[in-house]
Amino acid sequence: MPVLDRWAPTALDRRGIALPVALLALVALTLMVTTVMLTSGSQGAAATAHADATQSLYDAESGLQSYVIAQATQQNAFTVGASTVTVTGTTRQVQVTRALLFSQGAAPAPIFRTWAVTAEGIRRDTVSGRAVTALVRQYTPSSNIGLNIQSAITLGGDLDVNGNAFTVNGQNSCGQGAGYQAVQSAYNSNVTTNGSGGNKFNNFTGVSNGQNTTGKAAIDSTGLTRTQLVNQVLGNKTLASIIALVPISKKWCWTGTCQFRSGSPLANRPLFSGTMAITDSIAVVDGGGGTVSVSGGSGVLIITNGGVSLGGNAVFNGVIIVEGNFSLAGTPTVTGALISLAMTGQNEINVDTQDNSGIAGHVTVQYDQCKVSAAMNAFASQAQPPTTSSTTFAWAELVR
Amino acid sequence: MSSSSPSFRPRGRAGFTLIELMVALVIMGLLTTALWQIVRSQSAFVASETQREDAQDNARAALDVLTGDLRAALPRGVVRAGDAELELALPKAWGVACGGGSATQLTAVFPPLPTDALAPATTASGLVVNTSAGNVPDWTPRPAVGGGRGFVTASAAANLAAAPCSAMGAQGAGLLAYQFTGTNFPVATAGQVVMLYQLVRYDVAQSEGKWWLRRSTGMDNTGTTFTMTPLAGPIPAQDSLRFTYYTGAAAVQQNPAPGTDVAILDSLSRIKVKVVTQSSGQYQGRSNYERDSSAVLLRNRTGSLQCSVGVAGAPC
Repeated sequence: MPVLDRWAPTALDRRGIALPVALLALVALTLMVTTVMLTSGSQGAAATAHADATQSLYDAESGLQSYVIAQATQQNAFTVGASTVTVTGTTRQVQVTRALLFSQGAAPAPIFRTWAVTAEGIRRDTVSGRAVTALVRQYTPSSNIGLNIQSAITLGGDLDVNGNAFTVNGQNSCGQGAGYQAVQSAYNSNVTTNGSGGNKFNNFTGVSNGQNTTGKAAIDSTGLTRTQLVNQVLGNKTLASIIALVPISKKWCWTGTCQFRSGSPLANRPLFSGTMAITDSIAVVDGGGGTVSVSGGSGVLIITNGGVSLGGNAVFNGVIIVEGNFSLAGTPTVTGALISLAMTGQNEINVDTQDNSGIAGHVTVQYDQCKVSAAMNAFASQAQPPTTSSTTFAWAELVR
Repeated sequence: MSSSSPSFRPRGRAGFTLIELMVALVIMGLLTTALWQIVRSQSAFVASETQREDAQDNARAALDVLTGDLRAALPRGVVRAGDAELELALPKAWGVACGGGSATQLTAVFPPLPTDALAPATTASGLVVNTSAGNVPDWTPRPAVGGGRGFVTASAAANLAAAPCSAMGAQGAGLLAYQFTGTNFPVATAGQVVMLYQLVRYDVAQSEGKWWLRRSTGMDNTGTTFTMTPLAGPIPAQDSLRFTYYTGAAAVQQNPAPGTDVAILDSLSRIKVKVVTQSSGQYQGRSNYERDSSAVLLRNRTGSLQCSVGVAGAPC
């Protein structure tokens, strides 16, 4: 019977150097990896935190500027509150908060406002990080047209009268004050008559220094230059600044060549029908260098870059301002006032004999202060003066 | 009877021989030495990198604070501009005057800001007002150190809904009204922009044998001596902080530094700052150095408040 060998080696008895070496190597490797991980991890975290903070600051700055510029170009006033802005070219978002620090004036008077705009980045749906604040000033001009009308016809250019059936009455027809002279003209405006027969000024009546006037005495040939007369009647504003108060929906074209077709922010406006819509108390028509035919309306009608003609039985209640010529024929009636600037271009006096007011047929121009006031009030209610913004200033960085 | 004996072991199952042990020890020694070298070089690398990070962090921290302050600097707010020193009026809050003030009292509305920004704790606090009624601002009084500037000595919360601020029409979350007391205040009318500031000084100085970049935390009661605190460091030498000054839109470099020349200070448009920092510790007797620089456009140097869009010449 075999004797068991108590000392026979087993697998556990097979000692070698491999295991200790491997363990040692493992320990060293672990140390190295840990070191590298700690180093690179802390470095990475520090770098990421710094990059986040820097990005947050610049996001806030660009978000604030984007908001202000967008509002300024759209000529919109700021509103109190907060909104979200996406940083251009990225998907990062910034919360822009507006606070009104100072407000002076109320429509239709000019309005001045000082705003504090604060911007802060949005990270993981939470407003956090570095914020910036800056001040912006906004100005909204008055929506009042502010005309200073002192006659039934304000004449920047010349006046040609053909025929006798031309009634111009500066006496107020609505009972609020006596009124003015029939015509007020620049010192170098020429009033001429054509044709034969009768006194063509017989139907001119007005008021001067409380006394009724008739005939040529009803024409006030002022000592004003055309520029001075225009400044006076437009209340020291330019025609362009008045037109800027009118919303785009009240602007029209007369021909295909039109400043209101020139693209953003002006829409491709349709052609003017010749009559102001019943809902419109303001209309601006770009004459495209031609003559706009008007068949009726009420309120304030402005013809820029062209002349105007009223013919047939046209009835207009209010004020017509024309940059170029007037041509009145047939039996039109204007109750309110006519203003002929006889100008070509913005605020530029053109001593052009073509800028005449040629009148033929039976025409009535009756000064009416009530109609003038109503037209100017309607203008104020429908005007939308653009808001202008200053550049940002008073920047400060906030650390939350 | 068994053929094996308890005292006999086959050769293959015997213990290590001396030679085996020695060979193993030699191999282990070689491996250990190699590993030690690797660990040691790793350790040296880590130490070196740590020092470099230390120096980098120093430079980064210094530049972060400095450039942030410069970006916010008030128009006409640089008081002293040297090669290695800079004093400027740093905004604590921008607001709008409520009006009705005097040379010793002013009430203003402020946008939502940290409340500590409105605490005029020291005589380093002052205020300026844009007293211009037109588009070209006129910030007064100049925040130069001395008797001419508008010192703020105390502040108290005011009622936004009561006079004189109630007529401001102010609206918005977090708006605050404060009444300031002090001296040399310009008479501000309602709507004029007010800046409450703290005078800040940057310079370098030596302490415990090392150079440090310092920033002030306030002034003493005389209003002329700054209380300086280390901001970053150590830096290798006195010239390790360098400011370079540029004027106008064309950024014309001013050499030498403007110092206290008011005409040049008023036209400063940008400031470049260069910082060299060193690690706080050493490895094998050597320090690490890091150089960093940044140029800052003084964006609050607003030449005009004219409206940028809309009707030409419209007042703002």
